[in-house]
Amino acid sequence: MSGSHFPHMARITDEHELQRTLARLNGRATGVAFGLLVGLSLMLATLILVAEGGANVGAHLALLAIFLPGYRVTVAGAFIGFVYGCVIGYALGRAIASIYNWAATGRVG
Amino acid sequence: MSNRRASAHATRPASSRTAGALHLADVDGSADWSDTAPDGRADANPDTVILLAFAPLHKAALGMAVAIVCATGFALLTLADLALDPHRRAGLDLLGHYFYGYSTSPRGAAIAFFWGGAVGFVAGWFVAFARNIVMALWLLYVRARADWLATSSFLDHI
Repeated sequence: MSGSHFPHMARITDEHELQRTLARLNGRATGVAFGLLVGLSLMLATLILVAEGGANVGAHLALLAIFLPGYRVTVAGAFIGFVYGCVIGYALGRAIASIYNWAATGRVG
Repeated sequence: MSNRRASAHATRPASSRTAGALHLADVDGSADWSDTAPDGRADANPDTVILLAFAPLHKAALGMAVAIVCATGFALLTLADLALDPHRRAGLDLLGHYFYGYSTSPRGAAIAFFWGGAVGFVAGWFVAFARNIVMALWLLYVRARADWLATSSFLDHI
């Protein structure tokens, strides 16, 4: 099991190195996960308010239209919100994964 | 195999190949761990493979990553509200109830950057902490179960 017998394993079989090994975040996977989470959350929140109905449907959630042009508390707006959520969530996840991988390579104590 | 091996090796940062440096395990599916075995078998050393698969997250690094994203996002949101919402219909000022000193103003954007960073760091650190605890407990369970399965037939041989 030692490095001299199996040179391919030399860099990872050392116990000390194993203890210092950290998980790496996949940027694309993290981005997709965040994107789906944010997108589906916004779509679900919109659809729940649409299903509830009432005189002034989603008065507060509709304020998101200030930042997300085209978004409305309607069925169509739910899909627009899903797209916005996916894009924003993907960007956030990708950024977090990139910064983490950069920081975890020894620059952070 | 050689191409995949070369690809897997390339995903490791240069700093991780030096002695004493922190290592990032390619446990995200982007790498081929078959180079861990001399004969191409990925499971030559189950303990090594399991330890790498359960590699912990760096708490401070994840805290810093989430802090930077949250701080930038909160500050940009404040600046976007300043630019796009002159009548302050969004009501971001209400966040001042939770984040002392915050308001929808250029100065508030700087305060939002600070608060976003603080809250983001705590959130990221805690997420990594919780994830590491769950993974450690899961690793303990996997090892205990493997030990039990390996010795459960003991009485059959008596």
